[in-house]
Amino acid sequence: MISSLFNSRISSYFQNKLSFLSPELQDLEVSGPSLIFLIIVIVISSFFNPNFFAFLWSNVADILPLAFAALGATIVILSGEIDLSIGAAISLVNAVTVVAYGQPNITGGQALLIGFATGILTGVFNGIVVAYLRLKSLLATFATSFIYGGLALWLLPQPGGSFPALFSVRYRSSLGFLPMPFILLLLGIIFWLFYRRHKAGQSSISVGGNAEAAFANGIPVPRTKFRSFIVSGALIALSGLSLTCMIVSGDPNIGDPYTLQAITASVIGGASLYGGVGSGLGAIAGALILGFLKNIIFFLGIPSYFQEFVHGAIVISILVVISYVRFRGE
Amino acid sequence: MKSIVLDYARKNRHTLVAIGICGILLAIGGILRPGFSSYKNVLNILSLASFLGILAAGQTFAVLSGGEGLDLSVGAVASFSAIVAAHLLGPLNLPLVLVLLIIMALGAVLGLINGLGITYAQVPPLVMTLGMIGVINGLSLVYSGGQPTGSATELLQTISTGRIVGIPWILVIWLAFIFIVLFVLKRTTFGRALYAVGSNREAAYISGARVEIIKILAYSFSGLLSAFGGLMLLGFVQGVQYEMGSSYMLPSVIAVVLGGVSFSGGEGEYFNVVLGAIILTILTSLLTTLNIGEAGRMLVNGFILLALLTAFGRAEKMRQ
Repeated sequence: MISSLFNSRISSYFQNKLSFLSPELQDLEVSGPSLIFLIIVIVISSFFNPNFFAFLWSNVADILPLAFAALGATIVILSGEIDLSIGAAISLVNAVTVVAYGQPNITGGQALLIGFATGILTGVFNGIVVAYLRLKSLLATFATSFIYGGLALWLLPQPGGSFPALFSVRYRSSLGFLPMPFILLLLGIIFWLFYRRHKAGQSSISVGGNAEAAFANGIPVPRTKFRSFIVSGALIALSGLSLTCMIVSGDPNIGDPYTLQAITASVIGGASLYGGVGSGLGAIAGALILGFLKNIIFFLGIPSYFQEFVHGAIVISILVVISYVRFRGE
Repeated sequence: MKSIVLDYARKNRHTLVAIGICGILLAIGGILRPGFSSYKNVLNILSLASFLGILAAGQTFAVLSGGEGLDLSVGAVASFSAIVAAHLLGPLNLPLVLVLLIIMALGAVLGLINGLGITYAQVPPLVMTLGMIGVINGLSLVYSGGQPTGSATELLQTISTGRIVGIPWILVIWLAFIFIVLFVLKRTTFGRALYAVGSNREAAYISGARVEIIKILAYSFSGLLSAFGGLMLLGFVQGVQYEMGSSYMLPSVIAVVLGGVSFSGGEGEYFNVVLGAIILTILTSLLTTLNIGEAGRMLVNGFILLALLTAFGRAEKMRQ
């Protein structure tokens, strides 16, 4: 509804005057509602906490892993597939990084690189399975989530291990007056804007919208899908790495909640699970919304054993409402 | 004569292959660990398989309904019903039959919510049921206030673990359950409408089936059956913990795939799903006897699903 308003008047005006910005405007069109909702949530949050800006920065640090995961999820969803192994891959990256650091002669930085490589490898594996083996991504990534989860559990049967506290400090530090997580978030947004403009992003979107038509137009469909899984893998790796820096320890199940939340954030941000429509910017907004909601729940003083239910109910309600609105609106 | 046998073999090849795999796995098990394929152990394995079989029945209903149908919440519903049942049977001391009805109603309601989200709000089944897992687990926490109490009554324990003329009660129940499910699927209007809706939505709609209602009923059934499975599980495990049923989620999906139920809906037999559940349980038992821990089992399950999908579920290559 709001998008059609944008569509008919504002964006066509701008598209005439600023047609070179068309990808960004389209992106705003898709992510607009989520950005507005984010502002509303921030405003509500600020009522609960007088010391709002400190609260804001520290929350961005906590939400950053989800933001990266949501960005990765969006990139896969845009290409018409879905990735259910996000959470397990994050757990695996965490486990590998912590276990690698525990090996003799491996520094923190090297462990991070090994963890990053692991994330990319999960993307490669998913990509091969979906793009080249041509398995349907729903069940295929469901299967791979247990492979990554099993590996994580094998490496780290119990939560434990440690990681230099230095990284946790650096993670929450500031460069100038901007906190590190905020800078990383900005980098994520910039990356998304580049991706959207780049051939990789554009072909991904056309493949997601209509794979047959894209193929008929000469776009190499398997390679495009493979590429989107790799990019997503890199982002998920970053998610796992930032999570590791945050908790400076290992937990083989740490990533579990991320799968659903990343997909939800993506959907909040305007992605359609049928592919071809979506926004990384919106997904990041969605991640922030979910994160701030969690805080609002906490600050409302709801007893701890109620919190999971309330959080789950809110997530599901958001999904149902967004889905209903989009479906009825078509 | 020969052509009759070959014809039968060809038509039921899925079932025969499944039985064959069972035999091979049992034989391998018997070699690696003497006693694995003994009568007593096979009965044990079959008893264990019954829980998976019940949850996979719910999954079957969901998948049959079509539209990439899936119910990831089967494990969560089972866990929740176990927690509620333990409390109702234990501290509240309600009769078993009443508790059975209550938890089945609860399961049906949870499944109903899934069905409503999937049909009326058009939320993809995967996402809806995945989200409901969180809600249902949260409900478990809310209901038990952080401390699950109660346990199975003696009667329930006897049903889940006891025997009648040497055959475990649970197998008898499962057999009855299988008959009921097969009857509902094959011989009731609902069952036939379910197959119709799953295989061709539009045609079913035109011929008068209320597509949305059928789908919602399918997911409600899934919830109901999962709740029943949870009750049985409680009797078997006797103690109660959170997320008791979660380890059944993936195997229930694999069992359905093994059973030849198509994810586009409308195709597949519960009987084959039963065989699939048995195969998976034999495999899990085998892995456990070989001291392969949970990590290894997760890995194996993941690879098995991948292998099955590669064998049966590849999309066509794109051509000009």
